[in-house]
Amino acid sequence: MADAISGPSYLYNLLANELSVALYGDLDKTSENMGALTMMTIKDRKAAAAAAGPSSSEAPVDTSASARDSDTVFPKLESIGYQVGQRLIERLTKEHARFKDELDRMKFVCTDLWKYLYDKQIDTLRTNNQGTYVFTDNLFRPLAFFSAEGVDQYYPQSGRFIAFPCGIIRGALSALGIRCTVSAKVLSVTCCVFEVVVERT
Amino acid sequence: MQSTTTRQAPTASLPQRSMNPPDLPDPLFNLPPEVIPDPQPFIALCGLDFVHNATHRTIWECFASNRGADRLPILYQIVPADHEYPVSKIKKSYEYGTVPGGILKKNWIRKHMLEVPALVVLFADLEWDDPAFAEKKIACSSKIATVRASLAGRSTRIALVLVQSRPHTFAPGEPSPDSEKVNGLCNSCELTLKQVFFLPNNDQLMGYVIRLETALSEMVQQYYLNESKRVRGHRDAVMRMASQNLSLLVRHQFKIGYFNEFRQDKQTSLKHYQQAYLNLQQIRQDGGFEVKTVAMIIMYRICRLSFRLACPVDAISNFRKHLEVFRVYKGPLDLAYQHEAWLFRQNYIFGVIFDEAIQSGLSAIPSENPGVYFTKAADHMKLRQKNCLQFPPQQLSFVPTPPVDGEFYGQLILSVPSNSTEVPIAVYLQNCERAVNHTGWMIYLLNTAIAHFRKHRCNRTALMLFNRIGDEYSVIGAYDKAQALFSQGLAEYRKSKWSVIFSQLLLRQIRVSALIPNVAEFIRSTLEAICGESYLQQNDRLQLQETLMQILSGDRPDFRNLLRPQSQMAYQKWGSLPPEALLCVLDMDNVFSCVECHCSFDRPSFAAHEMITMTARLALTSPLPIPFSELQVVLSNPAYNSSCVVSGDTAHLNLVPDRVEEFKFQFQPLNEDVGRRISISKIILKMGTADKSSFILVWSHFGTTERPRQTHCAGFPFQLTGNESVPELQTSVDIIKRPPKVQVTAAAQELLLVGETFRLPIVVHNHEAALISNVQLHVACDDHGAVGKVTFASTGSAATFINDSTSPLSDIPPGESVDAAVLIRCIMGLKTRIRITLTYDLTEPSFQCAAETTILIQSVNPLQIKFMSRELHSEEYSSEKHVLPAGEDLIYFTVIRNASPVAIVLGAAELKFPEESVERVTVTPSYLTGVQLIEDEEAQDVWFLRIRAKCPPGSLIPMGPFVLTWNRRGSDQPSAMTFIPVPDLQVKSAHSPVKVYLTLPTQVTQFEPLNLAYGIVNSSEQLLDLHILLSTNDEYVLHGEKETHVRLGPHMDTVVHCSIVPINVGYMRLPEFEIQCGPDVDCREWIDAHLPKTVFVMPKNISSGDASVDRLMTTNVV
Amino acid sequence: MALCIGVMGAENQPLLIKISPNIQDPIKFHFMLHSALDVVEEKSQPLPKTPGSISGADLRELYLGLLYPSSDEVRVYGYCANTRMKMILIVEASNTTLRDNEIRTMFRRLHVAYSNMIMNPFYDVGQPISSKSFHDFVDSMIAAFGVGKLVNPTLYSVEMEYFEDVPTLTGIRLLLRS
Repeated sequence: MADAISGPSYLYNLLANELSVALYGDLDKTSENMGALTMMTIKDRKAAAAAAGPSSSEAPVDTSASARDSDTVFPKLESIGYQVGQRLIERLTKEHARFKDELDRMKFVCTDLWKYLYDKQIDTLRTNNQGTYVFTDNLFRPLAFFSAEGVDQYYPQSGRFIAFPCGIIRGALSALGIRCTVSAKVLSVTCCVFEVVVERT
Repeated sequence: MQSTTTRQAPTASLPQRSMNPPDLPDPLFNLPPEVIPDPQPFIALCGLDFVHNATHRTIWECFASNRGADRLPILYQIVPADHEYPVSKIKKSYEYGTVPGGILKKNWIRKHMLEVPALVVLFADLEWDDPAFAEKKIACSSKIATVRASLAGRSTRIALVLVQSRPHTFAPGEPSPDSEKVNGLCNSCELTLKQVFFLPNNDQLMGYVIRLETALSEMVQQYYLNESKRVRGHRDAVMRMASQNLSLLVRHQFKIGYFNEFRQDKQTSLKHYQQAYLNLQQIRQDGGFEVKTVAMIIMYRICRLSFRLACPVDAISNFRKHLEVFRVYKGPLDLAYQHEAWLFRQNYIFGVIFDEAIQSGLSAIPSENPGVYFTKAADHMKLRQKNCLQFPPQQLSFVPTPPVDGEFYGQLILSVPSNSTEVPIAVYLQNCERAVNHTGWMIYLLNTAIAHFRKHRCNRTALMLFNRIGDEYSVIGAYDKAQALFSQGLAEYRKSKWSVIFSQLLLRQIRVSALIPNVAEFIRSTLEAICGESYLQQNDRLQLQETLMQILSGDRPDFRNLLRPQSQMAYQKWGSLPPEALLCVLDMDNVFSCVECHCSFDRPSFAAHEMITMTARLALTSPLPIPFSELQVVLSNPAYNSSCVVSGDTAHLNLVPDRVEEFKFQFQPLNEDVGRRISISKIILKMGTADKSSFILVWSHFGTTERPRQTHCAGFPFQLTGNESVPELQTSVDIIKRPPKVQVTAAAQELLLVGETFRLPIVVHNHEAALISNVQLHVACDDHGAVGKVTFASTGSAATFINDSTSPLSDIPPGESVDAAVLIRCIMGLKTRIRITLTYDLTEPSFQCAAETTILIQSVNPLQIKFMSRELHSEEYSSEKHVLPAGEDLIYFTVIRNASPVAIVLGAAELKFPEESVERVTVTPSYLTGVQLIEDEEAQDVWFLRIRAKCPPGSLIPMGPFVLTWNRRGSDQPSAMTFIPVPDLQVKSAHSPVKVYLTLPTQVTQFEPLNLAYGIVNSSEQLLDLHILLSTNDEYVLHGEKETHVRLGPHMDTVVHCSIVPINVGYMRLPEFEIQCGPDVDCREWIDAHLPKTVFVMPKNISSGDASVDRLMTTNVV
Repeated sequence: MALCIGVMGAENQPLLIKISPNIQDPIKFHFMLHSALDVVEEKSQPLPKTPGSISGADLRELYLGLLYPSSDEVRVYGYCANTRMKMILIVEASNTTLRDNEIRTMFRRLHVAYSNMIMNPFYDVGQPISSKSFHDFVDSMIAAFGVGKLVNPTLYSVEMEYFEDVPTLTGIRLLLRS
């Protein structure tokens, strides 16, 4: 099967548009690829961190770096991620045998989807067998470039980069028939933990 | 099977079961009733006097009753001994080559099931010791002979059962002890021993009967095996013929199969039935009536056996092949309905068998369940009806006698008068067919199918069948039933968004509603059908709307376009409607109407003095404009309703397709609604003329409306993510208080002190344009955790401190300020917010407003109080454990430290103690009164006390409280009085016999001699010899004796003097004082506790400083 | 010629239904598709098997094969994606040229087209499909299917489809700002 659309680059373009509009309100800054966006984002964060001073280095939390982010940008990014995940999973599962159960679907998200998105698998998947699944990615790509200098300078901002993946997971699972809530936590600079709680009716 | 209560001789008969439901007769291809039950071996019982002999009746009941699954399948029948059995045909000249009259004789099954027994059992009451044994034996043998004669030519077995009431010890079948008698009986009856049984008539009769039944069953098996072998012989003969007679072959195969069914040998039966079926297919009669009938019978048995053998898949595939084989045999065109009738019957029969199998435990799946076959049966019934009705009914010139069944299955003999030879038989048969209630059958079949589909999780298929039933109902004119079914279907398809089906169904619903006539349903469905999302043709929508407009304008609709053939009927029915039928209220919830109606408040909340604004939007998606007469929004408080109405006279209620009309409503909130929520409960839209026809469309349940539709987000062409950008309807609104125009200023700039009364000044400035009255100042704690720890009081006289205080203020003219204050008292140090609320009334217009402010207060406890005690002569101060001797003079200190940054002034201090345990030695005036303490300063007060000697050692003396009066420096408020708990005193238990005291002068100077006077008291009751040692060191020069002997009588004292000259400046160690006074007296502890160890030495030429240095400073505080 | 192709969403709502233009009574096919969903659901989520019952094989393949035993008139084939998107194909029973494998291939191609189509960010997943190229693709399936060899697949590739619905990039810009 020849997939004419190259998935990731299309996704990242979409993401790039959204991110820049959401965060800067100006499309002119939109870059053509994710790499440029990444650079710019870091630059901007540096400035923001400098402006905010020492108060910004508070204990890092999952997805709430600032009130503005959590109120408007995160839901929006999450929602875009949802759309992307929902559509992407159709493409990825079309050659896959029918899933047996919930765990089978989770595994697919952890392996195939993650590989497609980030060129690596989720490192560990744990579950309590009661509808809670925990995915741990020890080297989460969107956070990987943060740690270049080996300092935790951007750790507080890392939460901004996991709203979109959260949405992707939620969208993918929703398309596979699992309604769930997804939350994520950045443990250290590159290690991200996603918690999926399946809604039981 | 048998009624045991009847007094008539019970006879076995066929179950009166037919495949047809009772009220739906249909003779065509009806399955003969004798084919339906499974064959059971048939045993005739004779010699039982059922009427007169109670024993015989019991025996019969044992045979006939409780024939459950645990009993062998046997059919019993009582026959008289001289019963005439069907005569056996002598087939010695069987000509296998002749063509028989048909395939299966109709009476054959019945004959072998009910008429020709496999075994005749003769019952006889015969005891071994019967005196008339010989006579009875002869009677028995004659009866046997009669039976045997009657069964001439048949291989039916005969058995003899002797009913014996006397007990005997051997089982039936065993040789009796009196073998001579038995043998005699056998010989006279020409029976073998195996054919004679004994039935003891006692309590265990039932058990014996069952054992007997098993024995009889073996004989029966043998009989049927022989029979099948006999027929097999015939078959083989037929097969050997050069030109095989297929009809005979089918017949023989069937018979072999049937005999094997008697034996319960299902596998063999199945094999032979299948063989019969194959042979039948070779008989080419172009789908002749007879072949189809026989095929049906054989297939019935095959499928039944397959299900019995737990091979449902085989049954289904056999059945499917069966249909496939006969699909092409359609027969003559004018009797095409017969083929459909046959197909209907096949599917119906199979459905019934399938259903039976499910009831006995088979589980089916959605794609294979009886419902599928019942549906197909209904399909064929429909075609059958169509095929039959396509021929115009013709009157026949004669009345034929009803057709007579022929000798063979599938043969019908029609006696036609000889003079009308060319009477078209087909016409006659068609006329017969018209009598069949096809529609009734279809409804019955579909309902059965629905039940099965529902059971097998096929709700969608079931729903489709509902609609088909609705169609059938509307064919026969049961429009109201049809309408109920359509409504059900509409709701489901609307929900599942299958719009094409929905629209089609809607059209049927409209037609049926017009024919009932049900005006409300008609209007509602029409409104839905003409909406823009409808999948109906534009032309249909136009015509529907034209009809609707006719009704709205009060005319009688003609329905010409809608219901072409029945339009006249509907027209007449509408004409006879009572006028009030055209006035109805239509519930528009859950309806995708062509009128869309939404109403929303412009904001989520409004203040009491504002006008509430609300916008209603109407949009129309029908092909033509519709005029409306009135729009009303009903709110939860009906008082506003008059403000929320627009009528067509004043507003533009003539809606035009694809344009959104907006209607603004505004009204003043009532004072009673302040603080409450108003919601939109309904929207009412009226259409039609008031006098002739009026329809009121009502929308409620706004919050649950499913689809805010495109029209509401016009101008927003793209939606990226779901419903994100669809504006939410504001269906309820909060009425909040009018915002105040009064400024309340308060600030607690200072720290509050715990216990003091703090006056918090509050300034109220009136920015309102008018005088405010009924002004109330309310203060309370904002933080739940601090409630009760901070109390408030108004500034009036005799204020009481409570958790929230309200104080009235005077009316304030516009632009002016009023100073108020509130008193605050904290009972502990804390940091909390307090809320100050000012409520006031405005008179013109009348509002109640409230202004609110919160301030942060912080309080600290200024008093840090320490209690210290010591014995008069001791150097040791104890602030934690107050362990003191009784009877000694004590000094008790209170140390008051100001722990707050606020300066305080101390007032009176009083130490309370129990007078009966403690007395005051000297009364000194309090030093504290008037003392000011700034941060970290301390003040001490002292009491000279003595514990009364009567207090037992070790007991605790409760002290306190210590009452201190104090105030913030410069405060105009009354002083605070603080009660401080005081630690208990404990009476010292040990008592030293010798006490030593040393008093040091206030000032010691370098190189000046210091006299040390050691006072020694003997507090024991005996004379003590004391050896006193003074050890020295090099910090001073000691003058006097280092070692002294003192003798002290009881309660006497003495003083030992010595003098030292300090050499160094600073702290100097004093000589160590040691008393040795015998082994049983130890006063080291006392000395350690009471004698000072060091003294501070001043340089020689420096004066001793201020005389007012506190006298206690001289004591050592290391 | 295929008689009818239906694409249904996860909630069994119709996304696209195409019926051969030669059909006189298309509503019948709507009913047929709707009823067939019962079987699709059953086959894609089979209950645990009990011995002695009638049940199909445990299908882990997305292609579900014949839904009903072939009737006199039509054969109904089903397909259920992992995302519970369902496709149903109805062909004439007399069309004996169609083999199971060809039906399977055809469903796969439909699935590819669908998964490409939903990449259009302006399409709401679960809403009726309006994409012209997807419509054309299904039409071609209906027309071409069974006539002989399948038409060269690349002809119907729906790549770049999402640009069709978006007139200019300014469209996106406006949207994102709102």
